[in-house]
Amino acid sequence: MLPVALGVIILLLAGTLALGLWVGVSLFYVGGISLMTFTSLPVERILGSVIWNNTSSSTLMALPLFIMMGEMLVKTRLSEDLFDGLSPWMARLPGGLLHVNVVACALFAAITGSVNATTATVGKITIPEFEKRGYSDALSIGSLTASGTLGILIPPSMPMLIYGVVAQVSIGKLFMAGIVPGIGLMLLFSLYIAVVSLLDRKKESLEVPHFTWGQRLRSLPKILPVAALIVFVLGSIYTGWATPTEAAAIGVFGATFLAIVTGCLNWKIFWDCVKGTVRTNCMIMLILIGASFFSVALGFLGLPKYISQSILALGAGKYAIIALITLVYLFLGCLIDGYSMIVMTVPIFLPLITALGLDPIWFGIFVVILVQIANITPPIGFNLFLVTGICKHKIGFISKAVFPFIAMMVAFAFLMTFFPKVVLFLPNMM
Amino acid sequence: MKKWMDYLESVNVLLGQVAGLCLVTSCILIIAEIANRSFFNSTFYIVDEYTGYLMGISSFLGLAYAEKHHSHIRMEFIDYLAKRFPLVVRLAKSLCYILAMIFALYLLMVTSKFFYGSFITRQRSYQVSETLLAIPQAFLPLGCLALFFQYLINLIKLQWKDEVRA
Repeated sequence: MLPVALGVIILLLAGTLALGLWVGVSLFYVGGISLMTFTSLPVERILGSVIWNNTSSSTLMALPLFIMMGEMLVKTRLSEDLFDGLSPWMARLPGGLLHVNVVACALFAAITGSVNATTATVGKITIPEFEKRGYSDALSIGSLTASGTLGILIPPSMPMLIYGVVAQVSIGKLFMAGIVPGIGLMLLFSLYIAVVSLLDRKKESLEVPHFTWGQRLRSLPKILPVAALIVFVLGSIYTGWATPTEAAAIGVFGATFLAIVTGCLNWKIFWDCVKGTVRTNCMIMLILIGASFFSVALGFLGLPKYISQSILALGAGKYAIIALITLVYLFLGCLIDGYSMIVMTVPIFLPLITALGLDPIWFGIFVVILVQIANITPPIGFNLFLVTGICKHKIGFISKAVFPFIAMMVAFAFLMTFFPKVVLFLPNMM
Repeated sequence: MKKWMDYLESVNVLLGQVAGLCLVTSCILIIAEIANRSFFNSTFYIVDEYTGYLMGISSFLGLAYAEKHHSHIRMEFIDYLAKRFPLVVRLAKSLCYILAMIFALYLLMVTSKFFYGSFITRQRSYQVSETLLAIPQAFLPLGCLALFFQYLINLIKLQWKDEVRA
């Protein structure tokens, strides 16, 4: 019966999603139909408690609060300040100001947690500046598109929160686990920029601004608010002073304070931020409600166990299975968004990962990197569309420009598989 | 009809604003709890519990508001066919709205029964506050009803839009 159930679920899910039904609603239908067809369980009662238990959780409150923090910070002058503050330190590196793209995206993303806001806000400042100074379009656009996604790897991160809820693992530990890979990926992007720039013959024609040490030191206060906010939010979680939800509330408080100090906040803007938060939060919550029900249905049918046992029975090694999972995610990433990918696949793959002896926290970071890739993979990678609105190039050019960065991300994900301690040493110290 | 639709949509906007207020209230409660804990070595006891209720209330009350702004995620493959097969795409979108309305109605029924069950048994939370669970649970069916109406409104708008185009 289980292979039939699996086939029906895959067909129903593919059919409803292709029809254009909302992801949360699709998951709900598939979960409900599977339970009604293949079991004699009281669906209504299960659904009632699934809904209540999965929405009325204080842990989940971290989600809208981090969204609100990001909404608030996007309204400040933070992105301009980051560019001004980082430029004097990056200008003399091979690749010059292109590194600002990477570092500013990483810092901005760390505090806003939003890929779209990061790419759009940083890109609006850096892309025209790079065009003016004669930097390679492919490198500047590729680095912006890819670095914008660092926001979901560097905590606080919404996909990590969703993964934590679906996989029922510590969100605080997940956040800590994202720090080293996030910095690692950032350094890898910078290294690539430096190498390509050193090999590029046109570099002599670049207009590289000169900064004195005095100017460099005077630029530091501009990076200070961002650095303080990151240290405060992540430090409070790491030291155990605050839970992720409390850290998110502190983040909202800090962001509001920054916005007031910089004169960027009035009642209308504040209310716009709140309304924006409600829209994003409810969008994610509808998916989560559907996903929780879908996951419970899969559990009652015993499908995750069946799939993991079937794959293990093939006798394939750990790395072969990880490679297979990566291919599945890369394929799904071309078709569906990151949140949906997490909620649909984690209940299926997590038992397999645990059976292989891998850590669920490690898998969370692995999945988040693959979600990052999904954000920049044609044809529906959202960041690609976003960047078309910032630069004069078409999606084909942007897809080509971002390809080396995708390759680096895939390589990095595999590196993490061979050296899981890169991910786990920080959360294990908590 | 248009007047009724506008009226219902303004109710959904209002519910969205209440959802926003729930989030702001939660944030204030949490900050107060941190301050109380850090400066007075004390606790309010109820913050974790009430933050959970506010999260549930906010998530359901804002569903219709998010739908009004087309914020809920759907795959848009079918939209690529809109130029070649406009009628097929229109039918598919209408079917999606009908399925979504059935979903919202079913959710309305489930959450209403859930609320009613807590109400007649006077179920209370296991926390210090012993809150009547029916109070926060009452907002769940309200949010589902609002979502049903928003899907209905969007379905009607879709038909009107196509009529205008024709």
